[in-house]
Amino acid sequence: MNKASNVPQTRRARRAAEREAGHPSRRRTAPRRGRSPLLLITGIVGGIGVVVLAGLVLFQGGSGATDATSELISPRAPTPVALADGRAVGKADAPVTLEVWTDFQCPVCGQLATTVEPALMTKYVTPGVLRIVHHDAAFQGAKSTSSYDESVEAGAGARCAADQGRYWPYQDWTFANQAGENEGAYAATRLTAIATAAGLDVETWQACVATGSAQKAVRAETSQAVAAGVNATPTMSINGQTIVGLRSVADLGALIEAAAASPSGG
Amino acid sequence: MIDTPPRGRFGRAMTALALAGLGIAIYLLAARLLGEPPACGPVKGCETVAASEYATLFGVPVALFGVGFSVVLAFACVAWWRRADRRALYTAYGLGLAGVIAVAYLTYLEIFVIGAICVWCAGYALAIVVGWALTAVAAWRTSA
Repeated sequence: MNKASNVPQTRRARRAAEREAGHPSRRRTAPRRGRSPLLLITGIVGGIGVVVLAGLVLFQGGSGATDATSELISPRAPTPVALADGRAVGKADAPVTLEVWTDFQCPVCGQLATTVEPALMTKYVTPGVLRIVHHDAAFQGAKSTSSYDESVEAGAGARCAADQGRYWPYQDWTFANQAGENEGAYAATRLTAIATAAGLDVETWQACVATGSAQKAVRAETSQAVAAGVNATPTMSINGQTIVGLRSVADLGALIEAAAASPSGG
Repeated sequence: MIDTPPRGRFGRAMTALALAGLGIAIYLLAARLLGEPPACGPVKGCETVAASEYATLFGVPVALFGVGFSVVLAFACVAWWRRADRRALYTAYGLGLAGVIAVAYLTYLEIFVIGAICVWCAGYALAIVVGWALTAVAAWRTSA
């Protein structure tokens, strides 16, 4: 439009030009704000937002205990059972040992178990450089007011799975099926389903869990961990060097390689 | 189209905030896809949030939704800023409102459900809320 060459430069001049170019009759008869689509957009988006939020709250809120016995999620990277040795995996004479204090309910432990450890298995455990040893540090269940401690029960289940030589399949399935903390993800029925999925003799496993000795062992190892200074999960130790929290595969790999190359580690 | 007075400043700021949000979302998505926790520095909480069940929705990383949302929002902001397209401004306003509702819910989850705060997520939420506030002011001025 040829008006473009005459666009006023100052804000006041532009506003004046807009007023002049407008239609005074319309401005007088109808409040301009009323023609704005803002109210309509706000109503539509706000309404849809509330409905979607309600759906999400119902969907995600219901993904804990109510889904406890529903179909389980398969582990994405199962631990090679051939390398398993109780709650350890890898050659007994591997030059580097990675000790992990873990809690089945801890989400970061879950990330370590489902993403970092599988990569370490492939890169270091299988070639015989690394041995991974798991310890209990069952802290999360203590936050619950329930007498059923899901961290301890999951850990006890793992010990009973270890009795059958299937700690690692059990831990793979348990971490793959984390669903909130102290919300029923590791209720007895769901742990039984996990034990079944992990290939355990479920009757034997249930009998083991029912004795309560595995729970005592979990609590005892947790107390030992606290006494040794472990106060967060996951806590790791590579040939005696303590690492608190999650680390990337690259970071852990560098520490493992350094430990393997050192005279004391190698 | 009428070039309304606040378009330059507001357009720049809105676009910058949308792009900042996009950058954060891309970083969080990359961390997720690489299987590594977001770098939180001395502030803890990112690992916990990233590892929580709420980091995915229907199996899709929440960060991917953030990337898609921020791309569309940034386009709308740029379209209004550079081309004075009023429909783009209203689109940015509607998207921004949806974004504010979404980040409010996600922040609620972080504080009251997961029990950890991810500074990247908080930064993203801040960019969305401030960006939407600017958009609302610009849209109100434009329509007034």
